[in-house]
Amino acid sequence: MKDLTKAEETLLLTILRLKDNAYGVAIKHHIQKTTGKALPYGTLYFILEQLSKKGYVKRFVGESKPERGGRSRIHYTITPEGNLALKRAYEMQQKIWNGYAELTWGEKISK
Amino acid sequence: MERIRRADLGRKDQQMKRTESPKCAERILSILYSSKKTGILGDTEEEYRMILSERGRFRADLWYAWQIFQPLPFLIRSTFFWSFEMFKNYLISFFRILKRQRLYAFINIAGLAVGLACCILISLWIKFEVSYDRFHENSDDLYQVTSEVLLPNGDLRFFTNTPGALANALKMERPEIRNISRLVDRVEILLGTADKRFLERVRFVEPAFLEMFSFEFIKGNPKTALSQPDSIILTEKTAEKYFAEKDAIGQEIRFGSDRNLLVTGVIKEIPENSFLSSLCLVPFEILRDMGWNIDRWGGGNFDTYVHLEKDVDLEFFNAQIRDFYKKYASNWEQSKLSLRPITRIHLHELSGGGPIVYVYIFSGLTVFILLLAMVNFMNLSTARSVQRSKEIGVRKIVGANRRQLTKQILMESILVTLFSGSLAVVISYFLLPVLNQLTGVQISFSFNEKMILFLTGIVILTGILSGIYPAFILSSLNPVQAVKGRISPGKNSLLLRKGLIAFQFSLSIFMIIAMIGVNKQLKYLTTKDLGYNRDNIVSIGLAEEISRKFTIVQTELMRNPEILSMTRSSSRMDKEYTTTGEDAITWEGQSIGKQMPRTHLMKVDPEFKETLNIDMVDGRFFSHEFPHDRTESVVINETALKIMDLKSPIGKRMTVWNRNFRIIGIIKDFHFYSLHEEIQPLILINRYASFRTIFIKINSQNLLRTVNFIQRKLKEIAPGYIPDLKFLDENLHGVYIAEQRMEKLTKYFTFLAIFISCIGLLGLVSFSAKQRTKEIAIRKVLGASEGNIALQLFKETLICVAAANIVVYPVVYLALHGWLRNYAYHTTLGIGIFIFASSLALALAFLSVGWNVLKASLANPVDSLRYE
Repeated sequence: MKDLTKAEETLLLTILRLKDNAYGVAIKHHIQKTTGKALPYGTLYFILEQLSKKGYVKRFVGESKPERGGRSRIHYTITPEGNLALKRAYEMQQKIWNGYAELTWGEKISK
Repeated sequence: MERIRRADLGRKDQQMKRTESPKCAERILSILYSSKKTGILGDTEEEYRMILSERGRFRADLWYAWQIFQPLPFLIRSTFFWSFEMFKNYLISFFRILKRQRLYAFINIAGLAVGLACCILISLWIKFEVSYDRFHENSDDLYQVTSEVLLPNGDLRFFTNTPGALANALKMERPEIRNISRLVDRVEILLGTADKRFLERVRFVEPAFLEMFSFEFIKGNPKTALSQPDSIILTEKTAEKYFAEKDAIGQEIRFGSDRNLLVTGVIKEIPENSFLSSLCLVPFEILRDMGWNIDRWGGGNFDTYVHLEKDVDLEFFNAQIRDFYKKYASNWEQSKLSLRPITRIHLHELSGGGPIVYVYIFSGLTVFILLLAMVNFMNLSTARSVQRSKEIGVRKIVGANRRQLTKQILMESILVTLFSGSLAVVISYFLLPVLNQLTGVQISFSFNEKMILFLTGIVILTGILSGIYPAFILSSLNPVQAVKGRISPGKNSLLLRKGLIAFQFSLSIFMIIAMIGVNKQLKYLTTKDLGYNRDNIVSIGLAEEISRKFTIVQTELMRNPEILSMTRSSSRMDKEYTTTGEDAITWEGQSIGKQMPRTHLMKVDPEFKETLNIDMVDGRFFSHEFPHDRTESVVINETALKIMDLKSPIGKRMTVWNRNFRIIGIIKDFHFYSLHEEIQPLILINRYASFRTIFIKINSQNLLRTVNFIQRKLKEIAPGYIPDLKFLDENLHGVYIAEQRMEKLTKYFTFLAIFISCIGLLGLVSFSAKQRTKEIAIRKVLGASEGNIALQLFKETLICVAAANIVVYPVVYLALHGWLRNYAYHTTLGIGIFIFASSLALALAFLSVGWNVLKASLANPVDSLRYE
């Protein structure tokens, strides 16, 4: 199992957080809100595709909406494998970051 | 479903206010994200509306535009950059290979260029052939009236002759007919001004003819030009001939002996690509004054042309008029009427066949030539795969997949064909005059869009077809072995290469045999004993003027001892004849139910037999001693006698068109028609009317002087009249123009086929000799003689050529035999042709491989083995 990239991580967490409302626009806006970075749709969907190929997310097609020009929303949910991957990532992060505060004690951290 | 809903929603939106994203932008986006369409398009639309409602249209549109431009740089980089880089690399290696292997490059490019040049020339020719009669404005609605009749022997006969009364009757009965015109253009008449007179063919047409067909008037009004009975429309050339720089309009021209016509128009020459030859036009009504009965149902000297209303269904119309004759003309009852489009007249003969056959044959041959060149390409590139194996191996190891390699090799072959294609354009430009000379027409070097598209397509297709097999072979090499250089061309591909060589040679042999066959038949046609003497006979088209003064002409000419005898006849012995219908002839002793089929009538004078050396079988020929011959005697040929089935024919009565005659003699059958057809019944009549030709037999010495003498005398007797003198045998050759063209064309194609196959073979053998350098050297060291080695190398070629022979014999025999069946009289295909063709092919093959074989077998083994 490969490790998640930073972007994948972010996406998976966003999907998890948005629950039933995890579709293109919402995901994009949420990421922009939390990270301050705009993620183009092309990139967004590319990563989503990678994730669903790996089996971390599942996509299903919602009802069509007039405000989308009659197109359907495509919703994503996280799969158990995805959850597992997130967990591993979290643990790894913790290991890596462990003791960071002590190490940098008293030093000036640049922004 | 979804689409319906979308349309619904869209309409609702429009009623409120437009809130949708711009459609065209959406489309661009959908192209950019072709794979993930649904999600992204929906998302952008949704967000667009959000921005629209919050911050207004301008910001929303701006945002949407950004969505489109954002991914572009990446897209461009990812799609074009790498393929461009690779393309550069492919090009470099391609040119290196070309430079390193000049001989192969030459063989490939030369072969393909020649093949493609053939393609270009043939398509130019075909374009010309199908352009016939399309220049008339109404060409799609113009038709010629044709008839077919079922002969008692079961044959269908087609003809375009119609009775004069038909046109009006048709016009009255069928409302779909917009215009109709009768036409006669086989009449020759003396046209002249005070100082110049020529025997000219003119075309008698009705005024409607000018509305139907498009003639380009230089002067005069097409609407009124033929409305007066005494008018004539000249072609540009005739106008110049008679009036030089003067304005022809309003001038008078003498028509025949007793009539003056006013020039009311000058038209441009009719283009070459028309079934109508370029002739002067005169009103149809003049024929009446010349003694023709132009409105009766009997006879049939007229062509009829019809202009139908637009969108008339031809099949339906033809079904309606099929039995038209039943109602009006009892003697035409058997004939079924139909119309055919004028655009078909040139290409399709009524009885099937016609130039369209040649279009097919030569397109087929062109494809063959191209195939040969492609085979060369395939052969050489697969053979060379050994030398390229290292490059391919390295590419594979570095990571090229099979698709990329295939792409590379296909690209190379397309590049070669593109280069050959441009070379072919140059070649065909310079060869066009040859084609023009062959076909006898002036084809211009011009292309329309369709042709350019077609030819480019052919070039690329050729590239793909010839590259696909090498691409397959090369891309399937095992990289490890390839890099080690341990690749040997597999047994399969070796066999295939030999097979292809055999295929090439079978085509070449086919062409050689076909060429000889056609040539032999042509020789047969032009030299066969026709049953009369055709050598040293001068034929002169007879004008009324000479006709009237014939006795003077005769006495004047016969004074010259070089002139042996002269005769007049209604036929020129080549093609045009008066024929009778089935019931026109009856005879004494005719058994019931027996009828004379289409019979030819020829009017001759008593000297005919002597001048043309025709033999009698029975009875006597016409003679001046029996003045009654002129009115009541006929001479028939053997075929006619056979049909009449009479025991003692001499003295029997017979009627032709209700006129009574007595048979006085039987002549031996002679070929008064082209050899395409069997000899048909012929009746000779001794009537002194409508003679068209004088035949003069002259001594074979001083031919030119005698001809000059005749010309001078005729000018003295009929000043101003310029007779056209021809030799009879030349005239007869004219009948076989199609065969002569075919013979020349097959010659060229044969040469090309042989050329391409031989250079292909040369390339392959030089390659395999190089490959086997070591093998040969070792053989020599072990004691093989030069002869042994040479034999070994020759053997391969020999086997290929021999196999080719066996395959091709039955095919070419059938093809040639089929062609010869078109002729009632034809040559035989001896075994000699086949043996000759095979030995020629073999000799050429040996010649093309000889140098390489010699070099290989004479090489010093030390040189080839030293570098080990």
